[in-house]
Amino acid sequence: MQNNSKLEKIFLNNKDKILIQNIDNSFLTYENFWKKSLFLKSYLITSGLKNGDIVLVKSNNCLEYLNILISCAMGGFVFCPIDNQLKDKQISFYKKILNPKIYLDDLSILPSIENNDLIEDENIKINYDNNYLIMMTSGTSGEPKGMMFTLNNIIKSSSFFAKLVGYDFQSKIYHILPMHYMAGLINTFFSPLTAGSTIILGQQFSSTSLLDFWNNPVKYNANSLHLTPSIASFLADLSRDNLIVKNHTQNYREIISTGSYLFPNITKKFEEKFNFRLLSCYGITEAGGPLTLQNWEDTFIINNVGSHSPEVEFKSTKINSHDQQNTLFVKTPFMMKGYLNDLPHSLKCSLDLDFEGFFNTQDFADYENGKIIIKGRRKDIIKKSGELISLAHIENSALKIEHIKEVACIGIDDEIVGSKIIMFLVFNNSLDCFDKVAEIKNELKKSLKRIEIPDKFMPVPELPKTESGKILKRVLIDSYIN
Amino acid sequence: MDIEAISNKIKKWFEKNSGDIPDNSEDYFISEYVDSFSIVNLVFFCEDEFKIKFNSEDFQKKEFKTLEGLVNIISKKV
Repeated sequence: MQNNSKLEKIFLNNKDKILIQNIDNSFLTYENFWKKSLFLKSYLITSGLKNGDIVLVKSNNCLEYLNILISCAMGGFVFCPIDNQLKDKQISFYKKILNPKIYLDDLSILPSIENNDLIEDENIKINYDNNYLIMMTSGTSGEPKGMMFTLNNIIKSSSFFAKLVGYDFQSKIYHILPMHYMAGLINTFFSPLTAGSTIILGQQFSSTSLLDFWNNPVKYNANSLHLTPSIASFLADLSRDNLIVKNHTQNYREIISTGSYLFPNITKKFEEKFNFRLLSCYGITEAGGPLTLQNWEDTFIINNVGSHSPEVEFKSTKINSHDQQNTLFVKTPFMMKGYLNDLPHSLKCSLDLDFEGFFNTQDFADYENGKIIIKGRRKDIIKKSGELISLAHIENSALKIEHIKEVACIGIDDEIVGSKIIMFLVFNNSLDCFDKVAEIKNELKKSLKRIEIPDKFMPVPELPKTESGKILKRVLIDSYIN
Repeated sequence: MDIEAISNKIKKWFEKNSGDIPDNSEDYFISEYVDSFSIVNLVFFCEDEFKIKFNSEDFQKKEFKTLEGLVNIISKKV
């Protein structure tokens, strides 16, 4: 292993330290992880991959997932993680627009090294300006959009966040966030990696892992944890061994809530149960991931998502004269390369910045004295359990169902999940509409992810509209709330 | 409360919240009758309805994941 720069240096400097602690007691040092990744890079090359080719991955979190990530960096391949819950039709869509050279949905079939010593050190020359990562997000039109990042973007963003949190070689991060999220990639993998920390690779969070959540972090002495507000709420509701867990959480340096706004009730509930104050962080995928972190005092100020380091700049301003709220803009040295607007023809990117080079976060917020106070989010894209969801995409799916004449979805603020989805339905025949709701729900399950299924269905005789026929969603929101 | 009465109440919960009732020995997590949101609701429903309190050992039992197993756990607590 040559001491070139960045990744190579990180792995070389920490070669004997444990990088990945698996929950089956096995572990991988930084050096062994590097060799395993090197081996997989060679495998990908023998499978026909060349610099710039796309590797599409749909999998639960596992060691191989992390190895493939680093293999792609080594080989100059473009890594594109997609949600493991996507349906066949959605996967076909991604394959069509991304044209990946390889699609991996079962990482257990990848070859593994039997003897690490057999791998010769290789003079790897990693190009940090290469296209490296495509993150897919819901577009406003209902069609997913790709965001392109270079390896430089990812490493810089990760180092920034590692410093903000204070990760070091003693940090032991319990990793449970899915890695098709930026938080799963940056907050709990790349950031600890850049700091020489250890990652305890837990089972990706699910309803099953919720029931025995604390066993592994207790067993492997985790001292850093990243949750979403929903996960924090579920844990507070279902944890029963208060004393064991309360003793365990006292070892933590930080427990950070990410993905969406953390409501005070969840902070309170979590603190009462675990005797530990959750810190919130604010991030924008386009801007490179996590950008701010609360300190203890910030947690007592409603909507305050904390402060940031000088590498990142914010400003808040009214875009139009009739705006009632300020819109938040951000400038980072690790901003995405751009949106992929020319798929499937090319990987050309475009990025709209204002005249000062700031990116519009589409969040309403005030920015004063280095602190960000979030006021709200635009509602055509909602954030539920940390995931951006396009309401247009859900509406389009519903409109394909036979009995539905018209449909409109709204997002309603929710303390636990951030936003809940309410679907208003107009049926072709309104007489039996209530009987049809269960049927509609089952139909939607065939084309939507579980998280995209509306939380409530409201059959209505008609939808409120403007004279030009545009659905008045504001009226629906008001009528639902009232 | 007898086993059948407990079972009926839980079946009604599934019918209302999941749209269908899992088979007695079916793992309702694997079959996706519950997710993270609804498992919290199911636990709260059982604790309120039967005036019981689950502990972490209950959650880790394999039988907690099937309808008949859940009924069995509850029946020992009521």
